[in-house]
Amino acid sequence: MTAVLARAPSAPEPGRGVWLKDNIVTCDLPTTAGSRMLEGHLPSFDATVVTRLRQAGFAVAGKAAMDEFAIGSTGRECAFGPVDNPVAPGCLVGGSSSGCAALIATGEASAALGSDAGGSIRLPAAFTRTVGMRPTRGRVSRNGLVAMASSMDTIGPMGSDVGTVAALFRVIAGPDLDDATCDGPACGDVDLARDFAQGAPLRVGLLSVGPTESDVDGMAAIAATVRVLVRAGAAAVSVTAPDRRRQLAAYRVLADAEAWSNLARYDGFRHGPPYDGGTAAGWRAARTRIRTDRFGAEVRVRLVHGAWALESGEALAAAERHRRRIRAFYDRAFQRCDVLVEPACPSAPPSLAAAESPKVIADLDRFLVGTSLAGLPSLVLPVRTVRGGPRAVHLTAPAGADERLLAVAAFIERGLP
Amino acid sequence: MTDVAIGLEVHARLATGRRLLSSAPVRDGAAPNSAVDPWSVGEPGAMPVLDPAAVTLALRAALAFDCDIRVVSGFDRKHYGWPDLPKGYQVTQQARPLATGGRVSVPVGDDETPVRLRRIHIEEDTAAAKHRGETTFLDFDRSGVPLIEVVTEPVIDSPELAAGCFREIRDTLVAAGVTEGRMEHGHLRCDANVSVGGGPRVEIKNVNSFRFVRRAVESEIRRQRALVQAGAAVVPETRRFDRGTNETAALRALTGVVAYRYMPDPDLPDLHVSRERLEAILADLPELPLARRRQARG
Repeated sequence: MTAVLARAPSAPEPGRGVWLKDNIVTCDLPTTAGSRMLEGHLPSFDATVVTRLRQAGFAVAGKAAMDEFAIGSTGRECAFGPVDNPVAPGCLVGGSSSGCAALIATGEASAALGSDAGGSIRLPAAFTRTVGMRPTRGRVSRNGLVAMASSMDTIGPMGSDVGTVAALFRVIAGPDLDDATCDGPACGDVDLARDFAQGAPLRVGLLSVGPTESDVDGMAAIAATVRVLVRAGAAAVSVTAPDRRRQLAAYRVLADAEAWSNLARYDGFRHGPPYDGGTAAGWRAARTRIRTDRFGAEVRVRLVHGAWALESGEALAAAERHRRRIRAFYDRAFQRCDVLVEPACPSAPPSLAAAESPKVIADLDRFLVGTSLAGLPSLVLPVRTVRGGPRAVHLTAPAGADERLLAVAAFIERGLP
Repeated sequence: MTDVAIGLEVHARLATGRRLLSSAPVRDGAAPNSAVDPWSVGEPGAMPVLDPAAVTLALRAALAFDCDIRVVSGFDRKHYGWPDLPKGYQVTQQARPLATGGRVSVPVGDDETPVRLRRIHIEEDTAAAKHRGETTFLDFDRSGVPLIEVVTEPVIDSPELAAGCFREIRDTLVAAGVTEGRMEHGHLRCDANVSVGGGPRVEIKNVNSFRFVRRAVESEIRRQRALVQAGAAVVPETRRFDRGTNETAALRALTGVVAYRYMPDPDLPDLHVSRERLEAILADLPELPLARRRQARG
């Protein structure tokens, strides 16, 4: 299946293999970022997370398909073929860490590292009934991650259960001298007993959900989750969510501008297949021709938008102002609660036919981009299907409280029917 | 010449022995592309890490020219497409440079002529492009080399002062240990901006010796005056100095504002400079040419 772009020459021991999204560089396996622009590209170094995995006794099982350059939320934008959803045939698998999610869902993989800028770990996890975590910005090294939206990119663990995800986070988290933005601490104890101590109940913030934002199954998943926590003594607190459409808009402006910047280097001359287009009229003309030929349609649309956003200083400034407002919102919310809960996605994974609608696609990350803008740790946890396909909840913790996030998620997972 | 306004932009290679944002070495005279690393060729996934030694040398330069030093400065990406720019952007300091103000004291006879500075900032160099006929060769050993850019205000009013200013900048930076100053190895490069009679600014790129600065500025002033005399327009453009003809020649038009699409670099945290660090650097600063001259004059 096209979820696999490259396989390690020898299969790792059972339980020790980790699949990597193909935007995490490996010097012994090609790293394409799902794009023909980097077809066959063999990096000269390993990503820091890869080195840490190996030091902890894991082995890279292979490289997983992804939406090209991590631009996309559908799983249909890999240059080497779309990824199917094994849990919901005929429906989107979600992206951009689509291959990782699909491999875990089929059982071929038990553990994977994906990347998440605006939901790229969490959405495919939600659509495949797997667990995906986006760590706090600055706790996992981005050295060796093919950059897309640098201010929001994170590498994060994916797995069939919270325990696997927590184990991976423990291996990869920690400061890295090779990434000037990675100065967060190594993983501490994942211990919910501390938070649930007598007299200090866990405060669960229920983010409000508008009448058209989520369907009935999504809300039922929230209710089931909250029941587990409240039964154990947690207190439920209502939190009014900010306008999620504005968050989506701000995210797109910032991410597309940064993606334009990060993809400016791809001209076909130094990395990827050698350019063989005959004599070029000039360097600029050749570069335009190569980029038009080797970037997919979605990447090209987003690059044009990103270039415009950078030209228009005001669009970027407005998006930055909104990012600050979102951060302030979460700061205030976490004064009243310890973890936030909301649906992971607006509906069950859309069918391929429904996914023809740009409106449907644009809405997929509605619940997920807020924590991206704020740099907060968040996790998607599957909740047993009621009807209509996989459903999941989206949990968010304050910056740096990744351990609490994992502990709460593990507790919910154990307590769900 | 009171109707002449000249400004200099001097790029000086910091004597750290390594790149600004990665650890690959910088060596004169090495074979091309013998010291490349992921960052210097823009390899996907490579991340920048600022060399504190480069910052120290840049601060020495700022102190040597009496600049105002920002407590917090930042790094920006300056985007443009050219084969010698492997990432498609250069890391520089546009919005919040390390230092502003300051002055160069240029010895003229027994006197000193002050030339006010606009700014000093840190940036990385591009790869070196060598043209041989139809082919262009790129040496990425120069990509990522640490530079400071010293920018004067357009207050220089003669070719002699321009050359003297370039020389004094070099001599001061060498005395301060900021650069080795080997002109033959390209440690210092100079662009001169010339405008006559309040007319448009013309940029002369890469006049990399004191003699050529004087000649290039001289010939450019002559050229602009001749145009104005003939009632023709001076085109704002970038020119190069042809040593053979002793004239400037057109390189490319300065079409309005080039769209560099500056963006703060999300991979590099802000640079904080403490008072303690500055005091320590100031205490360690060797004697500079200006001080030596003053002492000699008694």
